[in-house]
Amino acid sequence: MKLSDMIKICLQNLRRRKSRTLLTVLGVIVGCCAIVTMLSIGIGMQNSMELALAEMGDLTLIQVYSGGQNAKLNDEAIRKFENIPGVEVAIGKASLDNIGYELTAGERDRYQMNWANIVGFSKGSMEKFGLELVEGTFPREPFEVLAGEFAAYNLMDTQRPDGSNMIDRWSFMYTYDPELGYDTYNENAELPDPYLNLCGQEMTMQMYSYEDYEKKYEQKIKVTGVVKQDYNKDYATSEGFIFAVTDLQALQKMVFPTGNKKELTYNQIYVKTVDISKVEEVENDIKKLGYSTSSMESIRKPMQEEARQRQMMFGGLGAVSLFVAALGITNTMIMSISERTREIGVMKALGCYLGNIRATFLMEAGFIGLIGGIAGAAISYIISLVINLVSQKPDFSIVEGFGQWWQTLISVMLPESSPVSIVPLWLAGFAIVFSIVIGLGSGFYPANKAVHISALEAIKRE
Amino acid sequence: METGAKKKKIMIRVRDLRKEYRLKDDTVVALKRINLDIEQGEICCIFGTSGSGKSTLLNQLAGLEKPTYGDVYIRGVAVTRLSEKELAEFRQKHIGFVFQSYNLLPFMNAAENVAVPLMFRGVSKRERMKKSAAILKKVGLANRLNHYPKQMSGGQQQRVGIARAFIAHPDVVFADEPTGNLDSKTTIEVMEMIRSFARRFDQTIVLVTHDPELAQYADRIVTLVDGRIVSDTKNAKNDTVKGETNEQAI
Repeated sequence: MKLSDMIKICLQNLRRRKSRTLLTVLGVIVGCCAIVTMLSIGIGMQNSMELALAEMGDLTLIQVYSGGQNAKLNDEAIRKFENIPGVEVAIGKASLDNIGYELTAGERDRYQMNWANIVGFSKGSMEKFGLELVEGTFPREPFEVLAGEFAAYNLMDTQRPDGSNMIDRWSFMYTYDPELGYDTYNENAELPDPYLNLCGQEMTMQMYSYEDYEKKYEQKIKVTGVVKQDYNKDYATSEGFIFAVTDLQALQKMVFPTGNKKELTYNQIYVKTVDISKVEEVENDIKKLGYSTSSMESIRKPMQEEARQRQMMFGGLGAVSLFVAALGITNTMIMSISERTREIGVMKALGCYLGNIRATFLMEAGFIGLIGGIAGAAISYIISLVINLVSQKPDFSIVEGFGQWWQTLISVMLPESSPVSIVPLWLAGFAIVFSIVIGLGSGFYPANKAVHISALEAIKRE
Repeated sequence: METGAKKKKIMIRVRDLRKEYRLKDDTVVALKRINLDIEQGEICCIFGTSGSGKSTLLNQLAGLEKPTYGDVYIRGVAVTRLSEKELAEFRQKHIGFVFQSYNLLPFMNAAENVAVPLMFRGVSKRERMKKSAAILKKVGLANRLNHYPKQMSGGQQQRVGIARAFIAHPDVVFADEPTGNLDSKTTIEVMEMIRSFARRFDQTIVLVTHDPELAQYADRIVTLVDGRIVSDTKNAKNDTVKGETNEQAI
């Protein structure tokens, strides 16, 4: 029997009992919608969680601390870490030891900075580390540095009177709320421009050792760029300067020429992985080398575990209704077969292969699943849209024209807007395939029943 | 076509056939050691009252049921020993059925119903519909191709059934009370039709009936009583008719 003939027979049979077929399909649609909607809410939760975590900092970053004599934070360690699969880059972080300093800028050192955080990163790895520039470029030459986003607010203007010669940026970020009766913090508050834009400025760095305050050392530096604040990477990205580690070494030598530091050790090493999923693995590998580590993974893990559990629970609820739908398909098929006992007997008597009979019935059940799955997936998108519209309540009053209306409508589905329900394409595809499998599965027993109907049924007298 | 005088090939051979049905604590013997040879081109009537075992014999002959002992050979093939799949293939190629209650598939029209045996063989739709239309024309239903079984009378339905039985040119056609549900006029029509088809292609017909009138259409009448053959006679009356039918174009 040709496949096309079998498909035709199966469709004809489905059409014969339209209302029964429709009701069975409806069962599958409900089951399919239930499972997709439930899973989509689980996915939405996970998405929101990841958005929240990403706001807390770079999730792919691992901080490595020294683990004693055999696990020093040196260049060799960096090389070892970079050889671990899944690591994008390993960066050492160093600081000036036992050295005090102040910085000046502007004409005749008009602007002074008595306090700044200075940190050194391995040369050439700042970009890979994920430092973002607000303006300017990354340093290339020796003693070219990056300034923190708010470092300029630490400048004191020597030509202004005491008490009003600095800008207190914090006073702008906290505003008094008369309703609440206390200050509220606004991260995105508008700040006045600093006295001097540090980007492109030449600065002078004056240093002295804590052992001898009198003896001063001087070094010219140049700010090539301003980096975006990211506490997760270093405090210096806010109020400080970022040097190349080799420059810091040179300064150290300048102040302590007789210092007997044989090799460079870092305060800390950061390891950045190529992907969030690699963090746990890489962390374990680093620990095996004898170091101690910390990362966002310790926060992310339990949250993700909880999200997964919730997802399983939701999916389970949906699965129950799909299981009921499967029973519906089996029931429909068994009814249909018992009605058609004689027909099946005739087909057998006329020489129809058992395989063809089985295939025809399986196809019928599979088709119910397919139709239910496609319709269910389509309806799930609508349900998801409605859920997101209700939860986000986008403002349609300012919308003009269909294009904008459509944009607004679609915006509630975007992962960035942290929707309650997300139906990724794979979930829709999975729902359709799953429905077909459920259909075939529930058709299996009836199809076998049909195959075992005897050809004698054809001869039986009414 | 061979003439009646020549020795004919044996089409169906039955050897020591026995069929028992086991009930709870009782065994009913439906067929007791049947031996029978049916020649090619013969129209053989298996005649008996209800409970004589004639239907059971038909089931064994057509391979619808396995016997307890003995064998049935059709064209030298032991149909009693074939697997389900081999049996299906054998039926497609060599066996046709005419049923008492027509047994047309209700979701197919006349032309599609007739083409069913060809469909099972995997013949393309175009070819089988052409053949189906041709044979339906021969049974006088050229204007009923697109009618569904429900839209046709019993006689018309049985004519569709006959067309279906003969479309694939089987060697043997089993007819189980083919006119059981028809009036006497239609009965004559249907039986003449079966006979003329069989004569034309030298096909073997096994006709099962309890109706002595119907038995008169056969060349040979095998009478069963209590699962035994009690008589096996040539039907002399039919021989004369045979020649005439042969000349008639169908």
